[in-house]
This record gives sequence, C-alpha cells and structure tokens, in this order.
Amino acid sequence: VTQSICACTAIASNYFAFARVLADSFHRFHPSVPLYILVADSPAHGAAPTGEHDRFVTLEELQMPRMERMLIRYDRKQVLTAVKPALLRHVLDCGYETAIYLDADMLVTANLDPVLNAVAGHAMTLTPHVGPAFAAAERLDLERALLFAGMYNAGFVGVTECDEARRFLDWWDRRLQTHCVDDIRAGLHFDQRWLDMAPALVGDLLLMRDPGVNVAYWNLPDLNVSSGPDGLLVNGTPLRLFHFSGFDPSQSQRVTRYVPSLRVEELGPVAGLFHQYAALLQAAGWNETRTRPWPWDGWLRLLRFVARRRTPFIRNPIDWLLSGHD
Amino acid sequence: VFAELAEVVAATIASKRQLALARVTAESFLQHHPEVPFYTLLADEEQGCFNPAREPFRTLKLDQLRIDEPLGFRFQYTEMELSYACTPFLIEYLLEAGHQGVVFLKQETLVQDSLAPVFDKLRRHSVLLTPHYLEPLGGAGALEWELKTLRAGVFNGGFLAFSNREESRRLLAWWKRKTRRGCFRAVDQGVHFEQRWLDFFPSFAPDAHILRDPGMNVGHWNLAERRIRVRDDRVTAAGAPCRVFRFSGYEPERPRMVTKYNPHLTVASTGEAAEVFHRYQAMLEAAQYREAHQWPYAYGAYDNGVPIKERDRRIYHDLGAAAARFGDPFTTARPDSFFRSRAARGARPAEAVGR
Repeated sequence: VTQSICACTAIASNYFAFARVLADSFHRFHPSVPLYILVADSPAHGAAPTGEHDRFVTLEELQMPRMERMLIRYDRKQVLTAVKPALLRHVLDCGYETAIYLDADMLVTANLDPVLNAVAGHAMTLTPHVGPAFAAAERLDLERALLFAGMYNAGFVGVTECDEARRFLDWWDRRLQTHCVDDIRAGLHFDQRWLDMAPALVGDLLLMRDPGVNVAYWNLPDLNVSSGPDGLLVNGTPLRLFHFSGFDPSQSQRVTRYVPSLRVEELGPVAGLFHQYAALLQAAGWNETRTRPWPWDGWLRLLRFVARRRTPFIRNPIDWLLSGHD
Repeated sequence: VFAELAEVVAATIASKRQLALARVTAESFLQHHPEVPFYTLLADEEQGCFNPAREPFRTLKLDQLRIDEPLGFRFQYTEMELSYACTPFLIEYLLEAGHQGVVFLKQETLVQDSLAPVFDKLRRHSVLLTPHYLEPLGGAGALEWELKTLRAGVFNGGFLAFSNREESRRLLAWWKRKTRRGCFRAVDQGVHFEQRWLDFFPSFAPDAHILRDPGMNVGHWNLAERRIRVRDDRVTAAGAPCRVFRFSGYEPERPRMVTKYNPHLTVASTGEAAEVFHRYQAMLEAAQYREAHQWPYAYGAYDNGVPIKERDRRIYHDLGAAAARFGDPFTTARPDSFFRSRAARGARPAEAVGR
C-alpha cells in the first residue's frame, strides 16, 4: 500500500467512544496509516485525542462557506452526514493520493490492504448494500427500504486524487449543503441517495463486491458467516470491516434501531462480535461521553421540528428564514 | 417466426396507437442494420387495423410471452404502464428463443448511426445501461432535474441491451417479478414504472456495463449537456456520432414542444437538434401516424364498451390474489364480474352501465 493513503471519519463528541474503537481497530492492522477524525463540535466540547496516529479535524478546517447556515438548519445527524465530501476533499488537499471515509460505527476486523489497494486503483469506490444473492432472496422489506435509502452505503466511500473524483466530491458537497434531508417523496435520504448518481457521474467507479467489507444487518442474511482460525469468515473470505449501523450500546441486545425486532442472539457467529463491540465501546467511555450535548440544539431544535412539518403555510417562511434566502 | 437464428436482435413495444412510432424506430434501425431482425411486441390486439405482414418489423403478440394470469396483467395497467411492464418479458422471450443478444429500444426512438459498438460491448457484458446524465448538471434547473432523476431512476429505460448469460437471465427473472405487479409511478413507494428498478442492476450484476458514449440515448433530459450538430445525414452529440436519439414525451400534435415532460423546452430552443425533430415529424407523417393514432386500444374498455377507469385498474391491482375470484376482469355479463362489483359499490365505471 502506498504511503500516501489515509482514512477519515466524522463524529460529534457524543460519539467519541465509537471513533475511539474504530481508530484502535484500524491502527491495530494499519499502525502507520493516519486516521483523520472530524469532531464536529470540538474543540468547545473537547474530545480528548489519545491515539498516536489520530489527527483531529474541526469544522472550521473544512472551510465550508455555508457552514453556519447548515448548523442552524440541520440537526446533528444531518451535519455529520453532510460534511463527508468536504472531509474527503480536505484530506486530499492535505496531499494524500487516496482516502477512505469510514462511518464511526465500524470495526476493522482484519487487514484492509486488499481494500486500500483496490480503492487506490479507482477514482471512486462504493459498496452496494446488496449483491447478486439478494435478487433471488426476495426480501421485500429491505428492497423497499433500499428504494428509499439508496443503493450504495454511504458508510464507506473511497476516493483517489483525480479530476473525476474531485468533480464528484464538489457536486456532492454542493448538494448536501442544502439537500441533506430525509424526504422520501423528494427522493432524498441524507447524503446517501445522492450516491445513486455515482455510476452515472463517475466513469472510473469501483463497486466493491468483497463480501467481507461493509458487512451489516442489511446484507448478513445473504452471507455465509463462519468462524475461522483468525476470526470470522464471510463466504470463505476474511471479515474485514463490520458496520454496526443503528447499534445502540445502551440496548446491546438489539442489532439495530432500524429493525427493532432483530436480536443479537439471532445472528449466529456474529453475535460474539456484537458482544465484543459493546464491551469495547464501554471501555472507551461510552457511558461518560454519550450525553455530550450538540451545541446547535436548544431552541433551534424546536424551529427545525416545526420547519419539517408538511404545512407550507408554516414551513415556507421558516425555510426561508433558515435557508438565508438562497 | 425464427426462420434464421440471428445472433443479435432488436426489439420495441407498442400499442396500436403507437404503431407509427415503432415503424419509424424499426426503419431507422434497419437502415443501419438490415441484417438484424427487428421485433415489435404488440401490447394490444390487432383488431384488423393493420396487416403485420406488411410492416417493417416482425410482430410478436402478448400471448406469445409467458405471463401468468395474462388478463389480470393487462387489466391492472394503463396502456403506457402495460407497454413498459412487458419489457423484461419480451427480452427474456427473445433470449430464450436462442439469440445471443437483444437490443431494446423504446418505441419513440430514432437510430441515426451504426450500433456496432453496442453489439461489440454486448459480447463482453451481461447488460448495457445508459444513465440519464454523464456529468453533474449546470444551470438553474439542475437541482430540480437531479431530484427528478433520483425519483425516476438513474438509468434510462429507453435503451437497454442484454446478452444471453446466466447473469442477464437472473436480472430479467428478478425484473419480471417487479414489473409483473409494480410498474407504476408511485413516488411514495420509491417506484417509477419499470425504470427505477434498473437502479439495482449495478448491484446485482458485476458484469453490467454503463455506456458513457454521449451519442447513446440522447433525449430531452440531456439535450442541454450534449450539443447536437447536423451535417447532412450525419448527426453528432457532444462530438460523437448521435446513434440513438429518443423522443420521450414528444407529441406530433404539438411539434413545437420537445416533450410533454418539460413545458419550457421548445424545439426552436434546441439549436441544431431542431432539425432532428423536424425530420422525425416528417417520418412519423410518412409512417401514417395520424391514421394509426386513431386506432383503439384493445384493453381500454370492458366487453360492453365502457371505458376502464385508471382508478378501477388500480383497485383491481390492489386486490392482489383476491382478484382471481372475478375471472376475466374485462367481462361484464356475469353477476360476479369485477365490473358488476364495482358498479354495485356505487362506483359506477364511467358513463352508463351496460348498453
């Protein structure tokens, strides 16, 4: 793997434990690859940097011209998803040839060299939520959810310095500054639905089909997970990157808040991984840090709530106020 | 029908009203590929309106496709929905007949140059897709059009090509299940006719290929992105031969408008593309558009002549398996017919009941 590669993630300080666990698991296999952690509400709510190869990034460093408006208009989750393209652009600007964005609720469970090498060979890399096996499985609930949420998971985005990648990041960034919302009727789901356009806009796009990368509740039913001597195997290849999407360490028997009925015990060999992950999060201070407040809440939260109502009579003037009349 | 087994075939779908469009599509295709058979699936019934033996294409009938409960399939959809929903069934039928590749063109298409590069790519891939756009849009309406694209599907369903591979057959088997019952425009379900389902294809098919040729599938949605030049017979888009031009939403009755889907886009504003529209208009006239457009739609009315309301089609669809109890939904005589049951609920299907 080239020296000129880095990883990045984005959190608010209440998710500090997640970033800590991701960073430790990443550096266990890649001690010399820097991991940039955007802490959106630091340094005011200071998350303590500890890892030797962690680099902390602040919102100001991303130099997003509409940042103030976004902080007013968006809630915490929206802000954290909307900054992804700007964060990737920022690390490319730092001089890295290749960068991968990882959601903070991921765990690296094996060496990622094959992944990093593949990402380095393409302008952009995405992971489809589901693969060929899904077409035969007829899981209609998930199919419907994917029509709304998007085909590619925004928890993993790889880019390599080139005009095409830059052009996509610039466009994605521009869209997310105003349209990082969850609105099915509009065809939007935070940052993620926009990625459906990637196969159209990026010629050199790699859809990574390694079954061991970005494994999560949505593709687990299609995968054959077994225990190997060095950890879990997925369809016979190492499980490299697990995505605990929607996992709440405070309700550690539930797999994800998006499928409330799904219990960790039902996951077979993966259940152990969930137990380990919950323990790692606790050890990283989840209980102490999870209540850290988002500084741009308070009365703005109420205003956002009202603005989301569907009554144009209420929504339009508030939208107009929040959007800075653009 | 398959006297000689051609390696590659082309196909479209039309109801009788759209038959002149299919004629123009077929003739323009055959002008560049006279050796390639061109099929038109009639999503309708002949009803003596035209003589298939004298058409430029080979006519396929709905009954030839393997669709379970064919009457319900025809009844639940409007004329346009039905023609879209047939797409995977038609392509699968032609692959099962033994052809190695099928190029599908929606009926409002003009082929203006050789498709040899497409046939070539088809040998190496399972399916070929054309995105609506190849680069981020500029201009004031960009955001709005991108959002429309996210709702309607990233890939355009007007041009598709499938090769005869296991992967393609698996895609078609899945797509058939979707259009069998889910070929509507339903934004709140994330569905847009047959087209939104194509967004899944790159996930399902590692051997899918996305055509990035600016001359493929030029239509109102990307006209601004791809400058059209016309030099005699040679038409180019963004410098490349403009092989497939699509007239999605073009209404010959309103020849000054590019498409009914964009009320602001006039033919005159499209620069040299206007010449393409003028030519197309003339070809449609020559293909007897006016006459064909008057022909009736065989599945437009019950057997007593009462037009079928779109709402009733939807109600029938939503009944799901329970709809089977009505038998043939087009018949009206039996007291337990769908027609009578609708009338009994006070929802009188259009005009007067009975004759």
